[in-house]
Amino acid sequence: MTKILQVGLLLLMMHPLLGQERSVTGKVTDATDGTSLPGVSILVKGTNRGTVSTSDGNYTVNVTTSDVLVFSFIGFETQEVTVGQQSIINLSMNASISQLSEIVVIGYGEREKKDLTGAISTMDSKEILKSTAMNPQLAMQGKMAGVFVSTPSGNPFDRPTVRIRGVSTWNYADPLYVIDGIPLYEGAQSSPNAGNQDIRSPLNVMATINPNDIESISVLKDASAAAIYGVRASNGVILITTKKGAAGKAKIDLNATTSFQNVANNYKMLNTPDYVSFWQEAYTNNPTLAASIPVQLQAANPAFLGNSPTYNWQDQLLNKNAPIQDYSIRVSGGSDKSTYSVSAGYGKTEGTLVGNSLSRYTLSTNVVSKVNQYIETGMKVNLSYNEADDRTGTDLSYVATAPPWQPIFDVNDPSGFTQSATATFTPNASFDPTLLNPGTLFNISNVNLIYGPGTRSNVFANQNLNSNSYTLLRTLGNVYLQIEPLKGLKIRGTYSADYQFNLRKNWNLYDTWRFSQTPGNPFSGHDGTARGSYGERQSRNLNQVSEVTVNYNKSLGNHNLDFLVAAQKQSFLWEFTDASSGQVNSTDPDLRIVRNNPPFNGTFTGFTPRALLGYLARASYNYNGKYYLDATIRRDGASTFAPGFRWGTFPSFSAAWRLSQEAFWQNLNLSFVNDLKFRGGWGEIGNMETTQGFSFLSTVSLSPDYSLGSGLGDPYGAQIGASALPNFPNFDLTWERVRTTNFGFDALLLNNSVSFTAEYYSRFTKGVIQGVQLPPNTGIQGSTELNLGDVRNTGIEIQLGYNKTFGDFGFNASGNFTTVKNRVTRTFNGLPIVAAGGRVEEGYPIGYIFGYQVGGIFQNAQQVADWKAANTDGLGANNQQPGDIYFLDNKGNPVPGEVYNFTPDNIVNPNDRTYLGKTIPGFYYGLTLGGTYKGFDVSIFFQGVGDVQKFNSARATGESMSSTTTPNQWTSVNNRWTGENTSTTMPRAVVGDPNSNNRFSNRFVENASFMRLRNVQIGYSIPRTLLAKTKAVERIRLFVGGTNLFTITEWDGIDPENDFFPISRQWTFGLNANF
Amino acid sequence: MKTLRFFKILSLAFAIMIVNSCDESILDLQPNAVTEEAYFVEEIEFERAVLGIYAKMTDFYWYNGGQNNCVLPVTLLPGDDITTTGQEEFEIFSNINPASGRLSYFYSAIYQMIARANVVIEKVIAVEDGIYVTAGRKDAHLGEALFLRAYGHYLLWNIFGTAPVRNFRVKAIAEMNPTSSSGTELLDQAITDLTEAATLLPATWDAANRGRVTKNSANGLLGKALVFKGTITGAAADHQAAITAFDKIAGASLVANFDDNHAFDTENNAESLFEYQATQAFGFDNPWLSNDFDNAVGALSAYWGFYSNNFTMFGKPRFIATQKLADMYPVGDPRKALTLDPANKNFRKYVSRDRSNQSGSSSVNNPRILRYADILILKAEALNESNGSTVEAINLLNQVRTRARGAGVEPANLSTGITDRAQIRQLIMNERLMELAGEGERYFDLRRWALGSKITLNNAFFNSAIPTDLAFAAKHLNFPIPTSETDRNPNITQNEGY
Repeated sequence: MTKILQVGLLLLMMHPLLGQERSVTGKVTDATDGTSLPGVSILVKGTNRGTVSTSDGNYTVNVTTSDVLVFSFIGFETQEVTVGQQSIINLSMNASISQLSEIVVIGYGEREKKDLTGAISTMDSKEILKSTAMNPQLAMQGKMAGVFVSTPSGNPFDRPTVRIRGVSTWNYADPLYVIDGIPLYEGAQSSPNAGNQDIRSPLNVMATINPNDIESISVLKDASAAAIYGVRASNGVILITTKKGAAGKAKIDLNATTSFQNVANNYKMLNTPDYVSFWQEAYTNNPTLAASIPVQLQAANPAFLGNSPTYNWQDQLLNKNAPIQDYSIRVSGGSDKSTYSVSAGYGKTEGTLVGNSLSRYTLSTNVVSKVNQYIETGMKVNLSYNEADDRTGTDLSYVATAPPWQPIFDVNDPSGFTQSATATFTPNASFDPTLLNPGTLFNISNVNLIYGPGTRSNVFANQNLNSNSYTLLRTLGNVYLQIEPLKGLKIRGTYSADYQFNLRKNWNLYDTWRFSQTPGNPFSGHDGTARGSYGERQSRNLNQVSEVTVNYNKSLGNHNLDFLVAAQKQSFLWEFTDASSGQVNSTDPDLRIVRNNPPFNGTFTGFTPRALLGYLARASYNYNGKYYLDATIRRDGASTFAPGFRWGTFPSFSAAWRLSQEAFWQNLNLSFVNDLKFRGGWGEIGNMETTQGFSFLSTVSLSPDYSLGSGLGDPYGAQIGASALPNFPNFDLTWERVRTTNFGFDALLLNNSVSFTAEYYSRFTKGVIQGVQLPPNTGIQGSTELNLGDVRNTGIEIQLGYNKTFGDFGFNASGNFTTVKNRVTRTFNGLPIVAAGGRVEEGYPIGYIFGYQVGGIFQNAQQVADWKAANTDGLGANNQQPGDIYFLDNKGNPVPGEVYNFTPDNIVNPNDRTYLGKTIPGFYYGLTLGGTYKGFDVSIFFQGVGDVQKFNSARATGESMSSTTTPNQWTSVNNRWTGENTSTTMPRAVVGDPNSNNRFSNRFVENASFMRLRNVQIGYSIPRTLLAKTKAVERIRLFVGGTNLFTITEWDGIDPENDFFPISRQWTFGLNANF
Repeated sequence: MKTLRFFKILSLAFAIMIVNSCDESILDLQPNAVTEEAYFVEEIEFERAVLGIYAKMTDFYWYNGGQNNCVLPVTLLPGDDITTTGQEEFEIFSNINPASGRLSYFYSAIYQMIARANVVIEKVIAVEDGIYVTAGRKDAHLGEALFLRAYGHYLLWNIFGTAPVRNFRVKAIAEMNPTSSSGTELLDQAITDLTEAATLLPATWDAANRGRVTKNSANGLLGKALVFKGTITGAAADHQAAITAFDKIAGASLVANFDDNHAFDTENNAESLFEYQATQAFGFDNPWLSNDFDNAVGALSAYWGFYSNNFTMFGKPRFIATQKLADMYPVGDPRKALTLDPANKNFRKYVSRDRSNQSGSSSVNNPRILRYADILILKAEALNESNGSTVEAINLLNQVRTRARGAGVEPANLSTGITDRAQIRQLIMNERLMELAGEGERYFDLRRWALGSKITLNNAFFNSAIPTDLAFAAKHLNFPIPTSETDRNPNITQNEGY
């Protein structure tokens, strides 16, 4: 090793001094309109010598004859000019389009776009800035082929679902995020355990990354691209690169936007008189329950509430004109020795429902320094502090279905709100605060819901009197040291760390029991005098990565070689601490702490460790930019598996052929084809995220409890901790493996104005880790993780771009289209399971919708009699009436070992459930249209998904017409079957639902396809000639935009993406400035 | 040269880093949970494992996050003692099907209890000397585990009839798909286990351990299982064995006040042989979270909201007494008013002297599983069915009636002169209905009598509040094996008719 270094040093010391220095001058102009371009960077290639063009586009630079000048400017194509004998070099620069020379981050390196062999989608900072979302995931929505991003809700800290090329497993299917080379990890992110998910907190940790700080996003979609990330890459990899400085004078970028959001729709509900008559009818329709009609619905009863006004709960919950603010400033620059970038940002978004907001403060620094010719070092640190208010505690559908007679406000109540429940409290003689289980000072009884069985919690009182908030502090950064002992040989050591500290603070006023639909005894958990309970919960994530990479790059004539080897050690630790107290004696927010106050305190802690070792190598070869070959291999060891099953090796290969570089092609004179490349790849990667770890161990659960010693007047006894062995240990578990095959082509056509990429992909997942519920006779409680399923995703992706200038008009368009065909090819013993929000079964897509099929609605007694003569219904009471639904008898009782028996048996029972729809969209797309005219620019962005169905659970509540909790119903129930009013789609209203009309059926399954006008933006850039006079301001762009302006869909609800916490329609005003 | 040395140092540093990153021991992590390997090394750990078996019974009695999830209706509604106007599957029978979530939950919970017992049995038998320090505790643990395993099999037989026998701990994939049982195999397993448990269990426990099973519990349940078996086999030997077991019960007596058998403040009394020890979790007994969820908030309570029409019924009709039950009591029988409200048939056992948990939705009032009055009537039945003394049988019934009447005159003693065994059988059936109504016993009785051809069940028999919806058929004598089992175990046979 040392020898090599010594040789390298000698070589470097022989660096010759060539030529004589002189100066060159010139003017840089914009090729489209001939105006001068200030601020263009002009560098002597291979050095840090250079200058920047002045406000009138002129420059002077010292050069030698052999030098090459590199002209670069954001938004323009970089050009190189050999100086030669010239003393004046005027240059007109072209605005950049989809460029072959565009640099793409590929993971452990960068590469020009023309040299890519794997399937990689990218987007740059300009596209990212158009989004008003606080996280980078939503900025990716609809922008890249093969990348699906859902809009989770109108809650700014909700986590979007991101799926790359279909869904490869019915377990955790999120991609791996790598920020500036740091593979992220978040504790419990893949845990199916609700408790863990709760401790993890609902905050989207990606919202700690300020989209303004992002330079580019690359998505590695196939194994040949992603294999470099081994066992964590099977769901694809999203590489996020943050901005860094460039040599030259200091630059300041300023972005400011402010937006207002509203919800486009709300539910149309029955008013109080209609509600009353509706439920009276529903009770009358069920003779056996008619007598149980709540007193509040009985007109003759003093408790009758039908004369009350109608209260609008939705109106109270919607956060009207909810603001979004986002400000960021960045200072960057550097010298030939070092570059820097420092940025700060502040943003705040309120949710579309009240009591919900997210604020973010970010600081980011990035420094790179060349210590000398051989050594480079750099450091990046991103600091982020998020505050989230999470008091909403309800959703739009819940409040919409509140009985319309239930008021919200009561001026006579000290809180100002109307209480939901009353109860009787009687002193408890056996209360003893010195015991571990002290009991309660008063016992609760006669709990009464004031507004009938449908009484809703007064969520507005809870929002006002209780609080629930999160703060998340994150430090994400790395330092590296790189030695380049030989030209082309780089040895780099990197240490990275990501620390997240999440703190939840929760305050619950005991008096809010009155506002609850399910009130508890406010005297429990304290000595009877406390005012409320308070808890703090910390969740801490530490992810450390140390890595050594050796990279060697060599060109021998037309043979270009690039080798990479690396070793990586990654350790994760997720820890949590929870402390809460029932004994908080004051409502003063300043006095909310957890005192050392047994027996009224509760505490728990826990931790989950993980470790990963990875070794990787990549070899890349290309001949003259014509033939390309890449091979990657990674070997990973993961702590989550049993010894002997820990290590896996993941290979991948890819190749490309740039046909357009061939002599014969050029002879064909197909001048409309500027570049054409075919590429293909194969690879295998792993997925360790789907195991929760330690499946090979039988663990002891200490959560069961029992009580002993009650009697002789004591009803409680003493609670004693018990134990159980809930698991079946599986020693053989190993990771899922995803094999991908990818081929396609990239083309540039019509004088580079059209770019076109089309790809076919196939991803086969083998050994999906399935948490199998063993047959209940085993008594094994926990699900047992087994490698027992296979899935295949296939599809095509098309990405099309067009960019052309017509005089003063510029026009650009880009579109992407992805199809996904998802099929489960194997499950445990061939048996279907319930997973991924639906059913998982061989031959069907993951998580498909499974249920009964509606046959029709009985219109008269004769139809009922005819049907009953031939059929029986195993779910309902078999006392069908006109207006009830009859369901289809598709199948019979399967013989043991078979899943189905396709011979109908005239009995409608669970055997007859069938495929009703799929939840993975069959295709999705995005289309951006843009234009420029002089200083004006406009962009219009459509996004959509198709071939997808969803169970409309909001409608299933709003049109259930049967619940004894008498929820308010959608006004659409006015179209129900009543005898006079016939309907073939909506059954009669009948409380108790004796015919089980509401069984899970296609009645509520709908087409969830949509196309949205996601974003429109109109901007105006103040002419450079005007700005030049300021001598400081380089660029100012003002813009106005709209988000989610309209949606085309057949969905029967508020929004096909979220009916409960609806997404917003936004109007945005903003400013981008560069100094 | 200086630069050269610098490079040497740097190269060395990298080499160290590479070597360091090769240290595979970083992959040897431990979960922050105790593993089985490290457990069962102290008596207290065996104690906790035994209590874990008992704790599983919570699943039979808790609210379970909703009145539609609670499994109590499975045993309460099918009988002719309790009814409701809601179209509950276990009331009207017609819609009982293998996909029933409640049947599936009940079935799984029973097997989980059995599995916990099997672990304890395995561990106690294999325990090394020196771990147990309390005299007799090892036998007691084995006895408790055997008792609870037997209780599981007893329940399976009464509800599902043909569920598989599980008398060992499942440790291999190959053991996961047993075949169905037939006849009284489940009861036979219970009888074997109870016979052994009776020899191991202590006669009594100290006050702090009140609520654990005793010799009396084992002999009581053993006799009961034998009577049930005898009903099917018709064999006098089974009934005689039952009598032998009952006769071993020592120290139990009827409490003076009938209502003390259903009240929160008289739990584990002299009449009680086995109860589920309902309480409230010390933090906040949360009826939406299972016992297995957590120590502070997981439910430890029982749900009597079906009887009390608790607000957690959310408008669903309450469970009430049948007219048949109300009419059964002789005029003046104090049990009638303590059991039901004659005006509206509202059920009163358990809820008239009740204590709710912190949430006000569930109760700390113990469900009584086996009590001495039940034993006395069963013994009468065993005598009557095995050509035993009719006088003794009727005297046993009269003991129960004597206690029932308290200081009053009704119900009067039955005449010991009755010798017609069919007539005595009817009196026994009536007495069981009056004494045990609403305690979850009735359908088990009706089922075994129907299977043993002692009675014929039909829609009218059940005296439902919604007779037009009722559709009882013979297949309902065994509830269906849940799809959660039939979907995963190819060797299981679904019960006839589902």
